[in-house]
Amino acid sequence: MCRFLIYKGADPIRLSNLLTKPQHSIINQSFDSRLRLDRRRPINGDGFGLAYYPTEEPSISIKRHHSDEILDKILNKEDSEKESLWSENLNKEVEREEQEVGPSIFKAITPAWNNENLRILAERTKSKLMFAHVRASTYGVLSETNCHPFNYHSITFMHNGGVANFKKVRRRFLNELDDEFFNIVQGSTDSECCFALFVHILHSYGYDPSRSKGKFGSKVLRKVMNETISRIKYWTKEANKIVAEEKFKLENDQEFKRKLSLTKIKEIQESKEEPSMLNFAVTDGESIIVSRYISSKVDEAPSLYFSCGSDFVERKQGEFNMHRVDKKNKMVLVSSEPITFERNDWTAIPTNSLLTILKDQTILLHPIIDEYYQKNPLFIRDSGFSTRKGQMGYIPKDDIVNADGKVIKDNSSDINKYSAHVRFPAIPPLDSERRDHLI
Amino acid sequence: MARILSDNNNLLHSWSFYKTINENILSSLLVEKLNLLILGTSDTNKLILVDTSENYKIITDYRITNVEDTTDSFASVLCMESHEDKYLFVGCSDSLIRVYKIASSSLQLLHTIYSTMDVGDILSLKYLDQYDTLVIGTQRCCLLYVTDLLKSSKTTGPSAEINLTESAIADENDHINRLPSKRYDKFFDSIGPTGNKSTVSSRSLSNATQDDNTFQSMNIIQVPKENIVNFAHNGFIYCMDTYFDEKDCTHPTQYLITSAGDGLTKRWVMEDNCLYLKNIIDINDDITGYGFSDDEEEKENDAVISQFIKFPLLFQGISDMRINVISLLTDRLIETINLSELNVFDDHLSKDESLPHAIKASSNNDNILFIAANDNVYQYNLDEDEENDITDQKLSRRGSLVSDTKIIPFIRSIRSEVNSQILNICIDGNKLSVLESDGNVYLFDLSDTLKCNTQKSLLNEDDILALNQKNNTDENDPNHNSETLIKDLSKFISFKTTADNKQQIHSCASYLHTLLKKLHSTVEIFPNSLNGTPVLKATFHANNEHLANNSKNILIYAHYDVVPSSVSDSEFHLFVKDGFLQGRGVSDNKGPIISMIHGISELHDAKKLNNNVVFIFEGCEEIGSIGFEETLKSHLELQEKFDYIIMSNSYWIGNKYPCLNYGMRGVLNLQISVEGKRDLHSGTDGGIFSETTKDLMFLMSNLIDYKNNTLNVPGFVEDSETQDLCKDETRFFNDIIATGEGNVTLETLIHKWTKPSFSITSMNGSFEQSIVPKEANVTLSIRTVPTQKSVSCLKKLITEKIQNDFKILNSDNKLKLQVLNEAEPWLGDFKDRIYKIASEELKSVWKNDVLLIREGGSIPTLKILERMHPTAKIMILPNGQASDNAHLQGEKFRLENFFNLKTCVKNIVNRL
Repeated sequence: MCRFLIYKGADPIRLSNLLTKPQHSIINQSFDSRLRLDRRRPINGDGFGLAYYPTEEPSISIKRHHSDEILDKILNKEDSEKESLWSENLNKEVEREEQEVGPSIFKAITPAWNNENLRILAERTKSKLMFAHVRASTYGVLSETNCHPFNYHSITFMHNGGVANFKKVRRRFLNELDDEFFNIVQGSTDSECCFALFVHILHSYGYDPSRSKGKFGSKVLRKVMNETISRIKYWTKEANKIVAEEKFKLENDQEFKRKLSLTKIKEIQESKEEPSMLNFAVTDGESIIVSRYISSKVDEAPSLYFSCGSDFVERKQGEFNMHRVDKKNKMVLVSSEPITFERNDWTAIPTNSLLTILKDQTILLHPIIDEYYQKNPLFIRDSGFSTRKGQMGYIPKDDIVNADGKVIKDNSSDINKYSAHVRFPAIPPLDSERRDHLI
Repeated sequence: MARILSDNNNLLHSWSFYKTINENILSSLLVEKLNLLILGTSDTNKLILVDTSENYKIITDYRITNVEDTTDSFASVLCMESHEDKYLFVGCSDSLIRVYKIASSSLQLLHTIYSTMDVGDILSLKYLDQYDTLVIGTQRCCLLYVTDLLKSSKTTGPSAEINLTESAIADENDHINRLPSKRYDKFFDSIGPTGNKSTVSSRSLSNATQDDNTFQSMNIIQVPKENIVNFAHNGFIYCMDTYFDEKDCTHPTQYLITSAGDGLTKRWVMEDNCLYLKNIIDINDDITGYGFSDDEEEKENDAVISQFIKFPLLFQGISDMRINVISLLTDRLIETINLSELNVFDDHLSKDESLPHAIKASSNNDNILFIAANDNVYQYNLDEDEENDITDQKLSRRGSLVSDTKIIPFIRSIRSEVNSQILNICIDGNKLSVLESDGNVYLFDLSDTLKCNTQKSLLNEDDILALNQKNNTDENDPNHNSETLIKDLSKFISFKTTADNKQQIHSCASYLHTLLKKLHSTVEIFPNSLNGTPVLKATFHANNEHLANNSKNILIYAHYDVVPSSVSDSEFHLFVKDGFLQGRGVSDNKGPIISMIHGISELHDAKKLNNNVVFIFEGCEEIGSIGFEETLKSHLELQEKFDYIIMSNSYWIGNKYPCLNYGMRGVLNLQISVEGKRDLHSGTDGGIFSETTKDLMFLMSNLIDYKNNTLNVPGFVEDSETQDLCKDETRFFNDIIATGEGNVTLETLIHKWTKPSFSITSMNGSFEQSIVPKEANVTLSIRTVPTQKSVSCLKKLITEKIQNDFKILNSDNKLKLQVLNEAEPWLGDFKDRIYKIASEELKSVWKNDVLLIREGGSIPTLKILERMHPTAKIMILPNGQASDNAHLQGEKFRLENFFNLKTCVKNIVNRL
């Protein structure tokens, strides 16, 4: 449903180099999304959001101090009273600057490609840390409060995916949260609830999410992210249980069926047990944690790529290249789909793992080892589910491959080896795993 | 454009690979990454460079040859590795590994290796020649490896398929379609919603449609799925190195050390064509005192960027210009070298960018490491040559040397307008090549730099021949003849195993480890619980079949560290002169170690060893055996039961008669300091404040009873004064006097060995005539005897006395008492049979009477061993002469003693 893009670098980058200029920039993705061939509606046009952390320039206040001093000298005003007043002001200013640790946020509900403000903003702004998100709503109305990224003090969060059958558990889910974090939720999306849960867990681990300096450290964020995912996993199971129960009742309990309206019956019949897709990104302004996760052992999570190097340069109009001069990363890009077509520049983040970008741009990759972890690194997950949800491309390679399921041509023999079911993508993912937890 | 380089006479040549295509283009575009590697020996110097946008370049005799790379793929080369100058392995950002055969001025592509997994960039490569296996480190945090890479291809030719397991699907077309650049990708091979691929980059397109012929002509290898180690690390795998561990001398095992962005270091081993994780070297998990506080628990480890192994030391370059030195013996961090603290840097690079990019050493002399960091190459002398700059050295309090000249910039005046960095260096023979990020390559001659450290030959053949004739060793046994012993000792002495020199301590332990294995003992290594210094345990099991049943367990203790040499580097070279061995530690305690282990090993090899012998060697004896007791206690393996304990670090009373030692005095070294708020001037401040020196004098005069030459501490001396020596001891003492050894009288012996004493060993205060120092201190060295209270008890009495006196003063200053060193006195059981046997054996070997002696000095280890093994009988077997000058300049050890000790130990051990 959505697309997101993250930039983190040692040097600030002009946002237009990420958002507008590259061939497959996130703005372009909003109308030409390669990895979601929901051919009926291949566009992410339901608003977008941008959060960028201002580059710290502590020298500004000092510079001002200096220039004032010169001014004073010129005017021959050696007024000690003024001096003290000035330093008081300076202190206040420094204090205020210390408090303002959060990002600048810009959201709009108009389609991204039409937004003149965004174009100009991107052209004029530089940042070392940026989150961007384009939305194609599947859940929640079109409103600015529903636009990602979400923010709480220094913490910024966005999501690509969805919590399965969230409606069934939303009330109970929110009940778990402390009032303070319950109140974070202003919109109606599942994503924002996940954010509230994240902040709640961070707090329950003994860290004050509202602390002004932020900087909880990547280890803490990773721990909290792991816990968030595992809690949402629990709620997904709960929600799927309710769905299955209703269906079971509908089929076996005539009394129950008689009481229901036709619309309700249809709704129940159409509902499905599904895995949750949890591609989250969170930052405290210093380090970033990104997850690529699906609560299924055989399905592939929504796509997610990263690219890192020394410099992101425009070779010619619209064609950008990630340069790598040495081993140390000077910048890292994480994106739902690559923003360039340079095959060598992008690496897919493996499904069910966490990517950590440290303060110094070092990248860490941790598997999420739970009941959905695939030990075999060559196991090919079924992208059918993500595709149907509009999270993954299902595009035939030119005209060669027809639509009978033999799509992944290069891996056909591996598919035979490892996952026979891939040839029958029509089977709902949970059924194909024989998860008969109900009966 | 090239940088100005002056003062570098050793610069041979430089090349510039700037490409000035269009001045309007961003500068970063101009220079793409070059990677370089030197191949060939120093006379046929050959450089291989990769210019990523175009092709490989080979430089021979300063001329550049372009090598057409038929597999051009627009990928950046990220790592290169060569094997025997015949093969070149290249890892690229297109997830492919290419294997070339190096011809005179061209490269012949042998294999292309790929994986069906999306592994991202190839960041490191290592070829394990023992297993003919190439290990590949990737961005995706996994390790891949390909077995039987070169050897099988040599015999079967490039067309033969290697991976039999994959042969079912191994037709070449299949491989081509599976290559990372060719295989179908949901994104990169997609068409937009408009149904065309118009937006796809032309570069990628040309890539995909490249003629397949080039691929068909080569041997493509797919990494079998069993050969993927998924999540081998949690960060990019930047470094891989191998080393051989001589577990079994004939078949050394090749280990692989990987380290990554997650800051972890892992050790891998190949078994049955599979790569197994042996262990994780987590240096943050240690207790060496370098550990992290709770606060930093939340911090991630520092990424490891570069690595170099000089076994047993592993050097790892991490961020902020630091280099961790890790011991591969104990898997502990032993030192962190902080380059940024050395003030050799210009500050124009921000801290984030400060990285040691590469660490290398010349194979000719790996005592000098070259570190590429920031915009210079630094020369790090592992083995600092103290003769060079004696004036620059400071003598620290304990007498150790602190050298300021350990790290020096190699390229002396280097200035650049651009923020260019040194990205890579390569060393081969005497040539150093340097790659700079702005596209310059420099070639330096290292002969001058390396020359000063070439080892001097210490023994000539004639000396050794003379030795062989003189001594009663069995010269038919090449493992234990005089020549071998001297050679082993010579190497052993060359390690500067002073307490401060942790790297040398570990290297020396590694040498000893290897030697003990070579002598057929079972060796185990335990890190010292407090500082990680290796404690070695070598076991020789009794193997004399006739006497196997009631064999005793004997522990022989010795230490391989030495007191610091304050004079010159040459102390650490062994000389043989006038029948004496000369060198630091030759008598205390390295010489005895060599002769004892060879002695026992000789018995063992001849299957004549009657008793089980365990050697325990430690490396902290000279600094008070810190942590030794804790180490023994924390390892069950070190707590075997022993019947006898033999130590050998002590001396004869004279130079002629062999001795046995049964008693040592205890020691308490106490520093008393009085500290004020600041320095005072006797004129301006005199008479107003309490003065530190005055206070200290008062304390001292109250403490010392000058009249009776004792301490004014009640209970310090007990009725022992009146106690007479027992009959036996009187006899021993008289025997000694009768021989005239050491020119002693009964009086001196009694005082030196059986009476307590105290000395003031250092006094520190002001050096100015009118300044009262802020701090004044005195060090007292108190020796105690067994008839007194225990040292810990005396310590309490003395400190209480001083503190009470200080209270009387009512001074504004502060009193500080610090125990520098303490050891309990020891008295052995000289009536036990071990003394009898030893005495007889010494007598028969030396053909001289044996004296039973005590000593005025102290050995803390004695009491530790006594506490650990209360039932064992301990004996000290002195081996050096009184004139050995242990701990002093010109330490020596008579050859006769060196070889006779071997015989004595053999005989004693077998008779017990």
